[in-house]
Formats: sequence, C-alpha cells, structure tokens
Amino acid sequence: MSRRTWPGKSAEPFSWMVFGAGGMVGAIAMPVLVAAFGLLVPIVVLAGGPDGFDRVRGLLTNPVVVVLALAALGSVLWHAAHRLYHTLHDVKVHVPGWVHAGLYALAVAVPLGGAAVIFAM
Amino acid sequence: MSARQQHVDFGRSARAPYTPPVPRTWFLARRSSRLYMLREASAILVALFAVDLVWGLVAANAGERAWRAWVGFHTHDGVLLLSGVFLVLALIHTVTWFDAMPKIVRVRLGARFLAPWAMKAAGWGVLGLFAVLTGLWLGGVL
Repeated sequence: MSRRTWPGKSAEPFSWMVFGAGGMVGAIAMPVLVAAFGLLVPIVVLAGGPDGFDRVRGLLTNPVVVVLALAALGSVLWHAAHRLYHTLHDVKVHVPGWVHAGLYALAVAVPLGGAAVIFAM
Repeated sequence: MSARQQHVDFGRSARAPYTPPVPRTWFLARRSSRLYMLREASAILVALFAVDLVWGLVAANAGERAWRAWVGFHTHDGVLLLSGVFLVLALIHTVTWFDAMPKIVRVRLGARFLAPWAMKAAGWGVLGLFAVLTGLWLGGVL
C-alpha cells in the first residue's frame, strides 16, 4: 500500500447536496405532476376532453423552462440514485464503485439525453 | 474503494470480534424499520415517473402527434393503475421528507428556532401553490 488515503475525505457532501435538492423538488412537485399528467390529463382524454397540447405547447417548449425542468427532474433522479445505493447497502448488497458512479451517471444522462433530443429538434 | 474495505486492515490483526449475523430481511422485524424501508422505496420508485416526465417533455417539444402518443400511453388501464401507485408513493415521500426537514435544518429566528410544524406547513403551502398553479395552467385560466 503506497497510496495514502484520508478516511474522512469523500465526495459525499456534494452528492448529499444534490440529494437534498432532489428530495425537496420531489416532495413538492412529484405528487402534483403525477396527479396532473398521470391521472388528470389521461382521464380527461378518456372522457373525450382535450389532451392539453395547446396548454403545454407555450410553456414547455420555452428553452429556459426546458432546462429548468430537466435540471429539476435530474435532481429527483440523483436523489433516487443516492438512496438506491445506500438502501442496497442496508440489505447487504455492496455494489462496487463503478456501479455507484454508474447510478449517478444515469441520473445525469437521462435529462442530458432529453436536452440533446429537444435542442436537436 | 469498495464499500466493504475498512480503513483499518483487520486481516492482519489477531482480533476476531464477534459480528452477529444479520439477515437481509432485518427491516421486517420492526414497524419503524418497515416504515423506513417504505420511505426509501417510495423515493426510489418515484424516479421512474421522473423518467416518464422527461419523455413527456421531449414529446411536448416534438409536436402534437408525439404529445398525444405520450398522453395516450397513460390512458391504458394498467398505466393508470401504476400512476395511482406512483401518486401514493410520491405522497409517502412528501410526508416523510417534510417530517425530516425540521430535524435536519433548523431555521434560527433571533433567539428562537422556527417551529417544526411551521416548516412542515410551509412545505405543504408551497406544494399547494404549485398544485393550484399547475391546475390553473392546464385548465386554461393562466
């Protein structure tokens, strides 16, 4: 063992910060968004009502809104990645470091991929 | 560094401390730890709906046909049922998050601290405001 390690040193505070932001965004926005887009809009459509595209078009196609929404959704994904890693630990599944990093990479890749598709259109 | 590696190398030590065996299902034994696991699971599973919302945002930008396909996917019975489950999970995350919030962040007001109930109320207030704005926007009022 030639490399010195600092037992107290880790990237955890940064990860935890994004985790905290994602937890807050998720707590405030997710119940509303699930109720609106998972239940309300589909049920209105099933009843023969409008699909909401004329409402959605103006706001959700604004590039600033797109970036903010993807950042918010990304933080929710980061939050889940962080919890998944630690909960796996709790059930005695000790994943290697690259899986840990991969979970965070996935949380970044999904919104980045969305941005790439939207801004390439 | 793997999670199981220790900072102290026990392998070279003559110590052999007894570690009681813990089954994977340890959390089922107590109500509090069952609720803990439910809390963890709710936050993890709700991320699936966040992925769905990224898809919805892409669909909204791709045009009316893509948007209609995205909404149409959610009109299937199974998907509606799943959305109902997601709503319950999202609310579990909200309740537990707002419960934890005052324990993690203490807001100082002069010599006193902001009461936990006030912080929780503020959280629900912001959620309510977001719900009203979303409803007014989708309803065509805003």
